[in-house]
Amino acid sequence: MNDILKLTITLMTVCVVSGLLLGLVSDATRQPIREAEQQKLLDSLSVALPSAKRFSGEREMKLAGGRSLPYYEGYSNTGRLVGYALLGQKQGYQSKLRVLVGIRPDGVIEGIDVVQQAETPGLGARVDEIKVDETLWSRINRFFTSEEKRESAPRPWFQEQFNGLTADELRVLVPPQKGKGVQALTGATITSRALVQAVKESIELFLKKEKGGSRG
Amino acid sequence: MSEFTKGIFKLNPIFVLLLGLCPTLAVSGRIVDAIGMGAAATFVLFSSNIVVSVLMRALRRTFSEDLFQKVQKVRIPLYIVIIASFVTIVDLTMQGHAPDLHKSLGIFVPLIVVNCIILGRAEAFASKKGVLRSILDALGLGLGFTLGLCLLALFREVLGAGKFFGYLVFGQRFKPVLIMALPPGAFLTLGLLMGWFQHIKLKRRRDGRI
Repeated sequence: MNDILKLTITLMTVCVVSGLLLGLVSDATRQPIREAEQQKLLDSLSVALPSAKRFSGEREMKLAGGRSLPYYEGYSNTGRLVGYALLGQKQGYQSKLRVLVGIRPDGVIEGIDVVQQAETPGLGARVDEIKVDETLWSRINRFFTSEEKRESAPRPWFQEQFNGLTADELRVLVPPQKGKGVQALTGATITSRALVQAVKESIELFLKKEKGGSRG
Repeated sequence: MSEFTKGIFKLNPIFVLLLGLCPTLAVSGRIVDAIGMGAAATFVLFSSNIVVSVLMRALRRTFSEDLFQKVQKVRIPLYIVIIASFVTIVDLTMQGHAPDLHKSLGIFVPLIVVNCIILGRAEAFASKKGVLRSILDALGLGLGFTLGLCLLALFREVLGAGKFFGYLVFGQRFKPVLIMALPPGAFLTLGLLMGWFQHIKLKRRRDGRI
């Protein structure tokens, strides 16, 4: 009996000490984690709605069937409403796609930012692909000649295709062709379609409800 | 010193001990991820080896021989609590200070808890040896793990994406070998590298160097 007590005390001491330690760490990292998350949201919002300087907190629009569409309102520096950022989502090829869609009040897309996806690397995951034109060799060369890099933070080319379109103009161009729309990613038609659908649906739902005047 | 160097080649966790293969296959797609994962695992291994070594020595001293044998029965829960605490520390710190890395490593950071390398070293080495030797052991195996991950990631990133540290290696015209970026590519590379390691090992043994 005595032995069991000693075993218990040993285990308990270790658990209590590590519990205390974790409490301290959790306390110390709570602020940085919250800041990092907010910064990330703000970055995404600024990408989706570049003309807005300030954003409202998250709002919810109630939809039919108990679903809801989260969105943010974007304001200019003078407090004028310049657009909305809608959080659309859709099942992709192998993961849920979540996308922040920035629209002006007239429904024209200002920008989109895919905030969550886990599609196939090299295929669907290319929605996040940024065109790199810098080779390793030119990078090394730049390192030695200390030449400045030109452009700043390029955006994924696939997502940039949405800019300036309206919901009606959104369609997937397969196979590649000229015209208004979104060029599908090679070998990832399902992901491309799903993303376009997510954007289109969220805009249509939002504008319909908005026009109906029953905002929730 | 041999406690340190053994982890890099002779007891390389990935290619020789075949431990921790799950994160190995998952996060060896990019060199940046490989380094991040390796560093996280090395930190946990380092900390847990120290604590386990100190704790087991202290217990051996305070308890009678008979009772110490009984404490041995709860050693695995003890190790797990210690390891899990350090993993949580790494997880939280990374989330706050390196959110991008945290996002790309995903579930594999919390899963370091069940990484066999760490539990394995606590059980097989740290619980029996002194603190200094445990530290050397942890650093050596951690470095071996990191280098192994980087070696895999080197092949997979260069062939699978045509990139090295995110920069193009072959220019725009190169079409990446997609399979290398997908799970089968990880298995293929791992198998070939493992064969190469065994080849070197056998050759060394034949030459009578081991």
